Amino acid sequence: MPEPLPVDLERLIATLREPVDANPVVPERVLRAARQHGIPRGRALPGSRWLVAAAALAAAIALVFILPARRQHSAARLIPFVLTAPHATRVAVVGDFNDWDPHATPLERLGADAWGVMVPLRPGRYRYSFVLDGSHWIADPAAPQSSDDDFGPRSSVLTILPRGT
Amino acid sequence: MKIALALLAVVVLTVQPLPAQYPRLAARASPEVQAAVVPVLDSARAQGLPVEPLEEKVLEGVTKSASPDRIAAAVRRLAADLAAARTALGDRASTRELEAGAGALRAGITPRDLTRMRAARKDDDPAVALEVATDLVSQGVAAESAAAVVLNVVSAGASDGDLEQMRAAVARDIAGGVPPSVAAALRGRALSAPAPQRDASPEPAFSPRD
Repeated sequence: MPEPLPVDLERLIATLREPVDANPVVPERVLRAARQHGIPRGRALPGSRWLVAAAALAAAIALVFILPARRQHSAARLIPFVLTAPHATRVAVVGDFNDWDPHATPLERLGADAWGVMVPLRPGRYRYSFVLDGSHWIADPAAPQSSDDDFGPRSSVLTILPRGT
Repeated sequence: MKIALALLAVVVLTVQPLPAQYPRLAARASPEVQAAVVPVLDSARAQGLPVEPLEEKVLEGVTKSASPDRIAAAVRRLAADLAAARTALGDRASTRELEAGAGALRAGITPRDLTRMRAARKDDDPAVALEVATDLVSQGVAAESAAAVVLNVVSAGASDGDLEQMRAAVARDIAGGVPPSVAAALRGRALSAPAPQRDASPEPAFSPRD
């Protein structure tokens, strides 16, 4: 059972919920009064400022989140990660591209010995490692090794250049 | 006025608490790790350094089950390297440039060489040049030699693609038994040679992961 709202807030919400007068005569009356008070034609009225602000906010969200995400997606390329590990029962790849999350990118068994997965990555430089059976770390033997391993097992580095470079 | 106040009241009453400043860490790192690293991240942010590489370092430490103190030390060291890289590369350096510069410094390449590579690249991004120099060091090439080779080929106008091919070719040479510094010097000389000689290079143009 939700707690009852304070009386003032209930009144406030009731006020906000009151239907707006949709009489088509009203806007014309408002405009006429505005002109009489010297407000120039085309000047934004207080109500429209909220609309403009909302539109600007929506545009900003689109610019910051949606459009870059689309660009990132279009620039991504499928990169193969392959490892020979015949005795492993589980293999995952972890790195800068998946927050080093051992559950994010498991490899699939490809025949008796090999494991592999294709990962969409944008051009850039990534440090990564393979994790076998959840605890055994292996650097990619097919890639250069990282020079800045602070936590013991070495990592590998992968550089992806933009197409046409 | 009443409506404005009413709207303000609704906004104040309904606004949610701000999300965690480092949501990636909040999802994965223990409270102990967060307590150890957040001051370092806050300090880096206040200095205008990129925080993403530091967050990635924390997440790597968490996944590798490192202690909070060890993670904090690694993050502090990386922040110091990023700051030093920015000093060498300039305030306008991108996050990737700073990361590449920090990696190069960690590999033993000097700040002076970073500045020279930045200058040699002119308006282009020097990140790949710095990364290739770092990779050469990790393959066994002395830091001084790696910096000299990369600086020469960059000064000769090599592209990022050229540099990446050189790195792959040096790796193949080393795997074939050529001493690392010799392999780097030979491949670097071929790349910085005049165009006709470069055209005669026997190496196919490919990226090892394409």
